[in-house]
Amino acid sequence: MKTHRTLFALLLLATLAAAPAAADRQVDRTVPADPEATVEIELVSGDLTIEAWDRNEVRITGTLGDDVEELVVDGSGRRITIEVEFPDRGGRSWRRDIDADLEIFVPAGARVEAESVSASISATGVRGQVELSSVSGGLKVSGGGAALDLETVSGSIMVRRSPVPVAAESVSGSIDLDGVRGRVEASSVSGRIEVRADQADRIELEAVSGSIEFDGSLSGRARMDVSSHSGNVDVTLAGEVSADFDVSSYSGSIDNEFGPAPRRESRWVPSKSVEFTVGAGDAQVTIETFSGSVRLRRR
Amino acid sequence: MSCESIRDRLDDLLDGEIPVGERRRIEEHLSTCLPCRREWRERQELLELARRLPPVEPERDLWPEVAERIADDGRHQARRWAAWAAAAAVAIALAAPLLLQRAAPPDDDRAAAPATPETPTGGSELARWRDGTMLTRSDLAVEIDRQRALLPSGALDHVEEDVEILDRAVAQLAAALEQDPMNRRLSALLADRYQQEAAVLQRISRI
Repeated sequence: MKTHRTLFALLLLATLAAAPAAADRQVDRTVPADPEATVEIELVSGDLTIEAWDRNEVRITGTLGDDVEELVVDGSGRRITIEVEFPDRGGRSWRRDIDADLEIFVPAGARVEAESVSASISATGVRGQVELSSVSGGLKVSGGGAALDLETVSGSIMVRRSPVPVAAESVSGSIDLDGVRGRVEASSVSGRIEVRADQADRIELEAVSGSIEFDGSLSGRARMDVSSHSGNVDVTLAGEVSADFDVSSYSGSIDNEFGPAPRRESRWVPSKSVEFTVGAGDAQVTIETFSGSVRLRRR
Repeated sequence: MSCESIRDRLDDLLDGEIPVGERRRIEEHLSTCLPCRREWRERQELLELARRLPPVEPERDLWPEVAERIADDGRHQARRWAAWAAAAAVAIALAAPLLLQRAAPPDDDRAAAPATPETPTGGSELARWRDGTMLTRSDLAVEIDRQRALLPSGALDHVEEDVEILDRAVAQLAAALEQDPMNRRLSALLADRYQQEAAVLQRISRI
């Protein structure tokens, strides 16, 4: 009898363990799309991979969790919406199996807008505008993109080889932009910001406690604004530099390879600043911190 | 239409003062141009924020100072948002919505640079920024309570930690300004932090 009970318990456990995997549903849908279609995607959690291909079709493949109600694919041609729906039963939705692991192929020229709560999202090779947002999921974009607009709260943002305007905003997640060009905006509260840019012409970097690193070249009439509270700022400028500089910190140090040493603004407060011009002063660089240190270097 | 001409018309679009044909062209442009769309959203959000602020009676006519600041296109002018914020705050104080649409800073010829302030951000303006941020925060608290079940575990902890970081930054800047009240860099940093906190809270609400 005892043996039977043990066997029954083991069988029950095995069945329960296998249940979620067995419940995951495979999806594979394809809809015709214009070469420059707008593709909108919404999901709550899981993993979303968006890849460009050379067909005028959108194909959605992957698996849906047990508690996902359905995958809704609407429209075709110019606008296609893809939504992972789950029943609203109240309670804590993140405890249910509403994951969707999707791989979505879009025409290379498509514009993509994707939103999630905790899903990580990656987009590769999309040449149209890419707008991604997630609360806690990471965002990653590689190559292409007419322009990138990326938002997270605690997720990280990573961009690779996208020589296009980028706007990246996080709250605590890190921002790592490599190979960007033109207009570059990055803002975070506690996340670290790293930017490696080529011929940037409008740079706005802002953090509170997160550090900021910029390494790259400026276009002729570029304007760069870097603001931090307690995070350190490290700016390395490559190539021939022609710019007006205005660098200040209330209580942080300033280490400047380009021009004169900073001067104290008053004997009563620690505030210090340095203003100088390199070359013809075509570009304008403004860096300000409260207590973060500033390093301005030449490469 | 160029991006520059579109942006010049956004305030009129907000006020519904654009003829139908032109409005359609602007909307078509906005649907395909991310930077202009962001600008459009920012102005919508600012207007929304401004609308939520309680009316405040001005102690005196502040418009001449604002007009002077807006007209000044020197290279050390305030960031676009700070200028917008200052102008918006005063406009609200004067209860004259017309002023808000005239508050856009002049273009800078360097990479379409936003403006940056020549004069310190006034105490009353900072106070209004603070009040606006508090209002946004209170709205956010209501929204978060409503959506709490949908948020992933830990997400709210991050938000609270980061709002605390912003609060500490604001407190440090305010303390430094007490010691050095004429320091316009500190004023600008404090305005930046209020603006950033409001933007973060709005972003969280939106997401």
